[in-house]
Amino acid sequence: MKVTTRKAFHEELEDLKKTVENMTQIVLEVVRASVRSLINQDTELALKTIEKGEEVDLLEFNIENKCMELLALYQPVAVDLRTIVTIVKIIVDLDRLADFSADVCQVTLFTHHLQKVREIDKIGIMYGKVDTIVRLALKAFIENDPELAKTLGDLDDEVDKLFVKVIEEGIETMKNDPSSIYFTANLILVSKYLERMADHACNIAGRTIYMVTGKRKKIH
Amino acid sequence: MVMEELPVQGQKAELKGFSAVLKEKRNLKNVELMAEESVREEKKLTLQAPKIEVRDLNAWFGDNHVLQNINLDFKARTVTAIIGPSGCGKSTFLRCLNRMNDIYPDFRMAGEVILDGENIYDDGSDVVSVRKRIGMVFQKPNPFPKTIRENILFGPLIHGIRNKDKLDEILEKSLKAAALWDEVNDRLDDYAFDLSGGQQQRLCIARALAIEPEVILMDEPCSALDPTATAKIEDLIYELSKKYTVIIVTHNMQQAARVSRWTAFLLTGEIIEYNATETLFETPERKETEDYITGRFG
Repeated sequence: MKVTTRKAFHEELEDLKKTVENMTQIVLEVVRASVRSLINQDTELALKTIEKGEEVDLLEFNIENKCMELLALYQPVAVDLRTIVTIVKIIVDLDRLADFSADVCQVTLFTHHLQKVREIDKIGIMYGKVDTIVRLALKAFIENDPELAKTLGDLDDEVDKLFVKVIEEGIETMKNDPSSIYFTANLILVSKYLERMADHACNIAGRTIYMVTGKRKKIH
Repeated sequence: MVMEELPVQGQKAELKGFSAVLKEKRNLKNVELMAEESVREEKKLTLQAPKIEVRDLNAWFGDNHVLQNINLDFKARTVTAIIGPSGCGKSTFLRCLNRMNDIYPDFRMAGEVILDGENIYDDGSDVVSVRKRIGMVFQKPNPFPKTIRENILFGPLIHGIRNKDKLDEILEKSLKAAALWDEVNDRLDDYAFDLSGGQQQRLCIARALAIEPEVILMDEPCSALDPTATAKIEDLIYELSKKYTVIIVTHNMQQAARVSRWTAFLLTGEIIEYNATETLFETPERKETEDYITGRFG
């Protein structure tokens, strides 16, 4: 074994982790901005956020390439192998988080001119929880913290419950006030996007546990 | 506009029912999978009865305690790799398995190496017959300064085989088993040193096979070879493992990962971890193993 090449490998792996960390920051920013644009009916922010989300695509592509390169050149094993495979998996989740944010922004663009409906408050509450899950999942990954990752299942249950509530109440609202149907139906879509965002964050948490401990655990 | 009344509550109850069913199915499936897996694992373990059992093995060169309390089972008809940093005792351990260390005057050993139920270090044990049953291939190809034919038939002749047809049969069979026959069958009486390095190493393997051993020990068999010759030897190791118990010492961890079913990690004369190769390289149990195989020390 050549010590010199291995040093280079671990330096490259550190650089790669930093790039992934950078990607997580952008994703978190995009997720937050998308919901803010919806609640504030801010089309300018929505457009900016959609554009920002495209950076995530590029990062996903670059990171995947780097992972392939490290696998091909160094044939890593054990924790190094698990880290790279985890990165390959979670960049897909990160990309989906950004995609759902773009979908939320689309809803902002469709509905910014309409009178707000009361479900938007529920979306706000739901978002509060999704934000926590996403933030903690990314923190667990970056700080190699499987214990933190394990705690996210309960929060995800709360999000699922809120999702059902938004649908139920939304249906009521639409029944009572047909003029609200367009906005409310779109908000029901948003609640689905948020629910999926939480699931992707949980995937990241589960992968983090595998990366650090080598044990597979599904968080949901 | 009048909205049709939606039976939301009813739907919800129904959905809950479905999700309970789904959950149950999912759990069942997991349990089944786990059960299947553990049966498979158990089968593998029981099918692979140990060919060699090492019990409380300790070894010294003078005052230097080079191997410490080694307990290990080598499974029959499979490849086991021994990895570890230079000087950790890999080669010494390998040489204990066919009493090759007996030739060193300052070598001492305690413990047992049990081949098919018999301790090869028992007083009544015959070293020659042990080495016939446990063949060895070394780091550098070391053919005898003779022809290809003489190299292969050296062992069988010593063991008293004189029948020409039988010797021809052994010659062909051994060279074929070592994947060398096609390359040398028209020049069996050429000098062995005329072969390439990779061919010489396969000749040495064929020479080991000619006396029909049960176990083949390989001490860094590819370290003097180029990648093409290495690939050939690795393919050969895989083929050999169908019939023989192969134990290979290697510096090259990727090689251990490629060729072996079981891997033992040796560090300063102690077995740190012995595990299925894929487990050892994906989720090693010991921190020392992880540090070594990921290159964080060593």
